[in-house]
Amino acid sequence: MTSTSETRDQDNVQSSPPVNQLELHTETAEKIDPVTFEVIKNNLWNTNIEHGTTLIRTSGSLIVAHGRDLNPCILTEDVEYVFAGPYVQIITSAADLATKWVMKNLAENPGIREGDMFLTNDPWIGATHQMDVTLISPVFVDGRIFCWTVNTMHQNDVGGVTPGGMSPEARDSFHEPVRISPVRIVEQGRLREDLEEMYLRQSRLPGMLGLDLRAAVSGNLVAQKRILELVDRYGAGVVKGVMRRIIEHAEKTFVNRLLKLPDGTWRARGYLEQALPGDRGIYPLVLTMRKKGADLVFETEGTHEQIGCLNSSFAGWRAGIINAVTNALLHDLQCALGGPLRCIHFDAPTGSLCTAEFPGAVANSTNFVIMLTVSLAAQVLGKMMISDAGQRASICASGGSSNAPISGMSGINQRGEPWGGLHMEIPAGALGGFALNDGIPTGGTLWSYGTRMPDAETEEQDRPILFLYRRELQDSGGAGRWARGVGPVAAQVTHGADEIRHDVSACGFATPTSGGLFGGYPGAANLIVEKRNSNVRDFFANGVIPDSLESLDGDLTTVQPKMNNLRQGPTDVHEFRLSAGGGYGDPLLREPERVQEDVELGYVSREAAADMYGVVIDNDTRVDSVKTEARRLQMRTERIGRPPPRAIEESDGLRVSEYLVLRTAAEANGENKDDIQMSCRMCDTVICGITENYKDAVAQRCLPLSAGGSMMNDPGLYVDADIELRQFVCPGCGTLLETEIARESDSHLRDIELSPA
Amino acid sequence: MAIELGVDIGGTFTDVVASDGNGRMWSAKVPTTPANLVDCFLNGIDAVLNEAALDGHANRAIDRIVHGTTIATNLVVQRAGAPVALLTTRGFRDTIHIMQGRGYIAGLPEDQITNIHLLKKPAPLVSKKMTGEIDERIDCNGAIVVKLNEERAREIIRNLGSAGVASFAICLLWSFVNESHERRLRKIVEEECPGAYISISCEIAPRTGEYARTVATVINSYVGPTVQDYFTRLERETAAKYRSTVSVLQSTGGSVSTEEAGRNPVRLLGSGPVAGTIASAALGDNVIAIDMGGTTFDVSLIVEGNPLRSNISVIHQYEYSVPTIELQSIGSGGGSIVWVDELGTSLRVGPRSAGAEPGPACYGRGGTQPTVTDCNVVTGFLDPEQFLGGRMKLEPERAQAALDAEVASRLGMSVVEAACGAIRIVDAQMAGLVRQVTIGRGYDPRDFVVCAYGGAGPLHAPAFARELGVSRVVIPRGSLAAVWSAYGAATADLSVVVERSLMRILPIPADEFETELRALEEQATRRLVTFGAAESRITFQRFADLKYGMQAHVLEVPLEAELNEQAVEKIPLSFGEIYERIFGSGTAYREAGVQLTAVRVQAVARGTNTGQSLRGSVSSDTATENSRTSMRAVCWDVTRGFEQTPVFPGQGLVTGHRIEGPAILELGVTTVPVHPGQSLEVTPSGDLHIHV
Repeated sequence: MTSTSETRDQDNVQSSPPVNQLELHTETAEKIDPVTFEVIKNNLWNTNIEHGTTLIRTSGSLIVAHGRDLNPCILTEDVEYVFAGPYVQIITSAADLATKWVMKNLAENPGIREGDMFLTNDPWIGATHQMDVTLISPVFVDGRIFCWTVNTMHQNDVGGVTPGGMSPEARDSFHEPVRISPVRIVEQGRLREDLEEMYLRQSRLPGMLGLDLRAAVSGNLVAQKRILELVDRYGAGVVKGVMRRIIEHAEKTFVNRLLKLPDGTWRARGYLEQALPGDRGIYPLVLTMRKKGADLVFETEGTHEQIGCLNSSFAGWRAGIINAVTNALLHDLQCALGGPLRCIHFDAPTGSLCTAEFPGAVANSTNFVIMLTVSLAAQVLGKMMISDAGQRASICASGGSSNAPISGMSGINQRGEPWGGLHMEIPAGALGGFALNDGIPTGGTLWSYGTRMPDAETEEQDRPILFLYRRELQDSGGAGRWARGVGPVAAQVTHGADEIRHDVSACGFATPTSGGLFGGYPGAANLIVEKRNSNVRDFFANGVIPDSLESLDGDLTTVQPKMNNLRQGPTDVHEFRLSAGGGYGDPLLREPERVQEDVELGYVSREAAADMYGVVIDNDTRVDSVKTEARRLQMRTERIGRPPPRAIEESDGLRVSEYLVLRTAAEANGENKDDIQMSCRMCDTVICGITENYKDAVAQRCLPLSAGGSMMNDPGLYVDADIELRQFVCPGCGTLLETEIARESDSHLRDIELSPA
Repeated sequence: MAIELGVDIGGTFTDVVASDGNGRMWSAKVPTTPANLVDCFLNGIDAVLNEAALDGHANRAIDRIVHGTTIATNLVVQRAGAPVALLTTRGFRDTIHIMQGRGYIAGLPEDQITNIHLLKKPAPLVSKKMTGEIDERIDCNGAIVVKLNEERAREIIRNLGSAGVASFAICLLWSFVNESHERRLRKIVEEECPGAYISISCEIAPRTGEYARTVATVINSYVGPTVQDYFTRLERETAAKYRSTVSVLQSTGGSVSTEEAGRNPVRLLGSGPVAGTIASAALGDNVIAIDMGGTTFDVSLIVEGNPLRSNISVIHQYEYSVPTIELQSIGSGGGSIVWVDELGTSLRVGPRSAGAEPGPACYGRGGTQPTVTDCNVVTGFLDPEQFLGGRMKLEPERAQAALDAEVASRLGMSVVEAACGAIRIVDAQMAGLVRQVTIGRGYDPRDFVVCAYGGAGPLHAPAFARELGVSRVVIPRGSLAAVWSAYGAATADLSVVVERSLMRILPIPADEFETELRALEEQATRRLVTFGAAESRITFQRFADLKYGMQAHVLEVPLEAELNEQAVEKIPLSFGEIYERIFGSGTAYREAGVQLTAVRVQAVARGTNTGQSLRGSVSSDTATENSRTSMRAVCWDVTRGFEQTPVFPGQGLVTGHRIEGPAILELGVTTVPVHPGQSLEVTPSGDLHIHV
C-alpha cells in the first residue's frame, strides 16, 4: 500500500486498474440489436436515477435532499463510467479515481468480495473535498466483479476545526476534516459497527452522518439489485455489451464532435485572492487546453503554487473540468462520461493551486478552485467549439455563483437554540450569455443541475433574521451581444436575537470569476457589505422598508472574503451579492430592441443601456435610433482612438472566435495563396496570420475594472495588486473581440493559439 | 328517474357520461368548441340525452351535473389569462421571477436537465412593472414588524388601477400566520378599483413558502376573471335549458359550486385528468392510474383506496402550493417521435413529440417524422379505418414512408422491424417512468394493478405492465375507458379541502391542536352547506403535515377524529412508522424532533353522487352473447412476423367472457391488445381485466 502522504491520484487516471488479484467478469456480447440496446440502456439510466432517488429520499440532510449535492454512478468492471447522474456535477469524478485505488491497493488485503462496500473521503484518492464521502460497491456475477456502483454525498459535518469543514484559516489539511482512506465498512453485506463508530465519532452531527451512511448503503443495494435483474433477464454478456456500447457511442460522438474542430491550444485565466485572513495577495489560476485530433489535454502552467486555504487536490480540479465538458459537449449524452474520458487527459505537475500536494488545505476546493475551473474550462471549450456551427449552441460565457462564498452564520436563534447555516442564495446564481441566445437571470449555476434556493420564509422560520429584500440585481449581468446573466442580492437584519456571527471563507471578491466571452463583459463579482449602526429601525417605525443600503444612514463596511467572527448587531444591515453571469459577444451588437426589453424587464438600467450597450432609451422607454447609432459610433471611436475606417458588414467563414474568421490570403486580398489569415468577420479587416496572436495585432485598451459596469467591485478593497480590464478591439470596425481581466503585471493571455495546418 | 351527468371538456373532444342512478349509463362524445365552451357543454348534454332516449330512457330531467374542465389549465398554458397586478411585501417583487433559482426545471425529466442551453424560465405570469411593493412586514410568529403603510399602498394601487388592471393578486410574507395586512389591502383595492378580481394568498394557499404561494395567488387572479365569466354563462344557460345547477370538479378530487370554483380557480388546474383518478380509486386498493391520450401520458397513484395527494403542484414549470391529487405528466403519448441518433446506429423514441399538429405522419396533416402511433399502425395494432371509433381515417402508407425514410433505411432494418423495435422501446420507457413515479413515492409497483384509460392508455398498458412487473391491467368499464374522466366527474362527491400553515415543534397541547382542526372543520362545513350539502352528511378527514427537524421531507399523516392527549402523543410515532415505510427502515432521524408544518381537513358530503350505484353493474356494452370476430394481421413479435389475429368488437362481451391472447379488442375509440400469453376477462361490473 502507498503511504498516505504521497500524491497518488493522477497516475490512476489514464491507467487501467491492475487486475492480477481480482477476477473480473469481462464477457461481452458482440452483437446486440439496436432495440435491446436501447431498452437496456434506458434501464441502466433509470437504475442510476433510482440510485439517486434513493439517496435523496433516505438521506437526512437538506444538502442532499434540497441541494442535490450528490451523485451516483455505474462503472464497468474495469472502471469506466457507464452513467453518472444529473446532480451536482463537481463531485462526480470521485468515483473512478477512488475505485481504481481500491482495486490497486485493497484487492489482496483486506480483499474485495461480494457484498463489500468501501468508504472514503480522501481528496488525494478521489474526493473533491473531505465532505464528499464516497461509498464504493462491487457488483458480482458468478463470483467475479461485473461492475461497480458508487455514490458520493456531501456531508453536513465530518469533523475538522470549523463546523461544516471549510475553514478560511486552514493552513494545511490537518485543520480540516480527517481524511479516510478507503475502508471496507460493509463486509459481505454487514455494516461494520466498529468502523461506523470511528467514522461517526469525527462528526458534530453523528446521527445525521449515520443516516446518510445508511442512505448510501441502500442506494448501492438498490442499484445492484436492478443490475442483477437485468443480468438475469438478458445475460451478463449482453448487459456488459450494452455498457461497453454506451461508452463507445459516447466516445464516438465525442470524437466526431472533436474532429470537426481545429487543433490548437486555448487558455483562460482567473484569480483567487487572500490565501488566509489578513492576506492581500491575489493568485492566478491558468487553464490550458491543448487539442490534437480527438484528444484534449488540460494543463495548469502559469497557475500559482499551492497556498493557504485556497487549494484543490488534482481530483477536484479534474472534476471541475469534467463538469464543464459535460455542459458543453456531452449535454445530450445523459452523463455517459466513460467514452469521453478516454479522450481527456491531464498534464499537471503537483504542487499548484489545482494539484496541491498533501497536506495542503483543500476543503475549500469546491467553491474556490473547482468552481473557477468550471468557468475557465467553459471558456476554453467555447473558444474551441466556435468553429462548428452545429456545436455553437451550448457555448456559455459563464455561469453565476462561479465562486459561491461560504459565508457561515451562527449564534442563538429566536427560540433560544444554537443555530448555524450558510447564505442560501447560492443556487439562484445565473446563467450567462450563450452563443445563440440569452442566459437565464437567477437561473442557477453551471455546476449543478437541480439545486434550489430555499424561500425567505423557510429561512426566517429557524434563523434570527429578517430579509429586507431578495431580488435580481440590476446591471449585475455581464453586458454582451447575449446577456441577462443577472444574479441575486439579498439583505437582512437581525430579528429575535441581538447578534449574528458571520464567518466568511470566500474568493471572487477582488476580481469577477464569471468571465465574459468574445467581447462580452464579466458578470459582477461576489460582494458582502454592511451598513453598520444604521437607522433601519427608524425606517421600520415609520412604516417603510428600505430598498437599498444607499437609502440608509450609517457606516458602510466592506466584509473581507476571509474574515472570521464578524458580529452583526440590531442596527447593522448585512447585504450579500453573488457573482453574476458573463456576457457573450460585443454588447454594441446587441439589438437595440432587446436592450429596450432588458430595461423594461428591469435587468438593465437606462444608464447601463447607454454606457455598456450604446443604446439610448428616451423618456418613453423607447429606443432613440438616431442617438443610439451616434452613441455606438462614438463608443467604437473611443475604443480604437479614431473613427472606425470600416463599417460593420457581417460576413462569415471558418470562425476561430465569435468575430475572427480564417481567410486564405487570396480571399483577403493578399498575394501568397497559402498564407491563411485571421480576419474580422464584422468588417473583413485582416488581423494577423493564423499562427500569430491576434491580441498583438489589434487595438488594445487597459481600463479600470469599473469600465466593466457599475456593479464591478473596487479590487483595492481586497488586494494590493492593480487589476485592469483589457479590451481587444478590431482596428477596422471597433468591434470588441475579447475582454480580459488581469493583474497589471500579467502580460495578456494568449487565449487562442491554432495549430498550423 | 332523473339523470346525473358528468361532463369533461378536453382539448379535442367533450365527453359526457349519464347515469339514471339504476346502473344504466350512456356516454357521448362531441367536438369541443374552443370559441365558446358553453356550446360543447350543452351539445354534449343533448347528445347523451338523445342516446338515453334512443335506449328507452325518455325522462330528460337532470338531477345534477358535475363538470371537469381544463379551462384554467389552458389559460395558463396558452398564456391567455387576464393581466394581473401583484401586491407583495417590499423587497420581494422578484420572488416569482427568481423561481428559487433552478426551480424552473420542475416537471422536466431528469435526462433533459443536463441540456442547460435549452432550458428556459417560462414566460412571466406577472410583469415586474405590474408589481406593487408594499411597505409592511410580519415576522414568522405573526408579529407586525412594520405596520402596513396604507398611504403608500393606496397610491401604488391607484396607479396600478389607472394602468387598467382589473385583477389583483396579494401575497405578503407570513400572511398565513397573520392575515390582517392582506385583508386590509384587499379592502383598499376594493375601494380604489371597484369590481376588480382579487385573490389573497392567506385564502388561496395559506401555507409557508412565498414562492409557491405567490404563484398560486397570481395564477388564481390570472385565470379568475375568465373562469368566473365562463361559469356565470354556463350556470345561466344550463339553468335556462335544463333547470339544473352545475358543480365543478376541483383538482383535490371533490366538486364545489361554480361560484366557489370561480373564486378559487387555481384549484381547477389539472382537474380534468384528476376525475379519472377518482374513478379509478373504486377499482382496487392499490392502483396505478394511467391516462394516455395522443399527446399526454399522466400517472397517478391510489394507495389503499385513496388517491395520493401532493401539496405542491406544477404547471408550466411553476410550482404552486395547492393540495391536489398528484398527477405526473411523464411523457408525450402516441405523438413521441421515433428517430435515429447522430451516429446513425441507435434507435430512439422521444422525448420530442409531434404533438397534435402536425401529429403523426399517418394523420396526413403534413407530419413527416414517424411517431409511436405510426408504429402502431404499421404493426397492425391500430386499424387505420377505426381510429377514434372511425372518426378519423389514418393513412398507413404515410406511416410506412416516414418510418422507412427516417429510421428503417438508416438502420438497415425493415419498416416492421423498426416499428416493433420502437414499440418495445416505448413500452420499456413507460414502464421505467411509471416505476420512477411509484418508487419515488416509496412504493413497489408490483403491489399495484394498472388502470389504463384515455384514448391510448389501453393500447400500451398490457405490454408495459409486464415490464413493470404488475400482474393485472384493468380497462375500466370497457368502452367507458375512453370517457373515464367524465365518468369520474359524475361520481365525484361534493368536497372541499381546507388547510392552515401551523409551524410548531411537537408536542403541542391536545386542546390547541383540536381547536385548530375544529376551526377548519367549521370552515369546511360552512362552504359545503352553501353548495347545498346537508350538514348531517358531511364527514371529515384530518391530516397534519410533519417533518423531522433538519430534514426536508414533509409527509401528510392522517389524524384521529378526536384529539386527546393520548392521541397527540401517538402522532410522532405514527409519523415515524409512515416515514420508515416510505423511506426505508432506519431512516427516521428521531433525535431531531418532529415539526408540524400544516394542518388540513378534507370534508366530504357523502352520497351527493351516484358513485356507489355507478360502481355496480353496467348495462351497456354487454348486450349480446354472440361476439362475432373478424381477423387482422398483427405483428406481435418481430421474430414471428405478422399473425392473423382475432378481433373482438367490445359490444360482444358479456360478464365472464374470457379471451386468450393473442387477440385485439376494438372498444370504439380505444383498442386493447391482448398479448400472447395474456388473457382478458370481463368482470361482473363490466371491467376488462388483463392477466399479464
